[in-house]
Amino acid sequence: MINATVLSAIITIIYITAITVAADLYPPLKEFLANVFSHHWIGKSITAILIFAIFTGLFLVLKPKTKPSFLLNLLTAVSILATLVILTFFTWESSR
Amino acid sequence: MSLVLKLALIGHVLSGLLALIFYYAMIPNLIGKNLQPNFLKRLSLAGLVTLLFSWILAGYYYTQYYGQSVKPIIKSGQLPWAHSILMETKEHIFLFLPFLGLVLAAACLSSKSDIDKDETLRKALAKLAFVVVALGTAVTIFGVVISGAAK
Repeated sequence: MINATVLSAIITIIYITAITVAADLYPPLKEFLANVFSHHWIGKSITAILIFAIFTGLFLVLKPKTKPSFLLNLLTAVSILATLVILTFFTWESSR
Repeated sequence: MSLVLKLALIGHVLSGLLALIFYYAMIPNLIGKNLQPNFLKRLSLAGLVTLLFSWILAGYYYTQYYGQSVKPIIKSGQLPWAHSILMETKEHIFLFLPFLGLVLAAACLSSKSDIDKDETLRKALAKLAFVVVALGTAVTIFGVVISGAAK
């Protein structure tokens, strides 16, 4: 249970970071999210929830044997790194 | 701004701050010697519920009001970076928090968790709770600056 949610959270955070950067660099993607989900932020939220749910289900079946503490530390590192990527990206984009 | 939007704005700040208090309270319990599993379970669940509540209220305010009414004021004001850097960062790192909250709740609530026996696991959970508090604090400070830039 713990491993499944931690691994899914890692994938979800990487997805949120990737779609945030991609949608800002490629406006048709942002428009697509806005058209389908009424707002790009709602689109990112709903697709993130779907990705988390799908991968949690998948990892509950696969039952990865990795130590939970290692995965939790990895999630912590990914969260910090993803925050820095997003902050750096919008700082760079603002100065363009 | 309508009453519903005002309540959503205030509610998202208050529930977000409550979530930070719950996650902050988890840290000494996880790294201290007197582990209280039931207290941790309640804190992780309360943190998750308040984070989700804050997410929904913030999303409503952001999608229904901020973009049309606040963003143009900030972008034409003296601190346009308050939107282009701080708000853009805030609205996206905010999306991480409920998933981190779900992980903490799953770890504390799972019957198969070795939280009472595994010190390494408790330390890893404490680090994650600290990240939630740190990101939540950053998001809160960004929100204060954004509000100031809109005046």
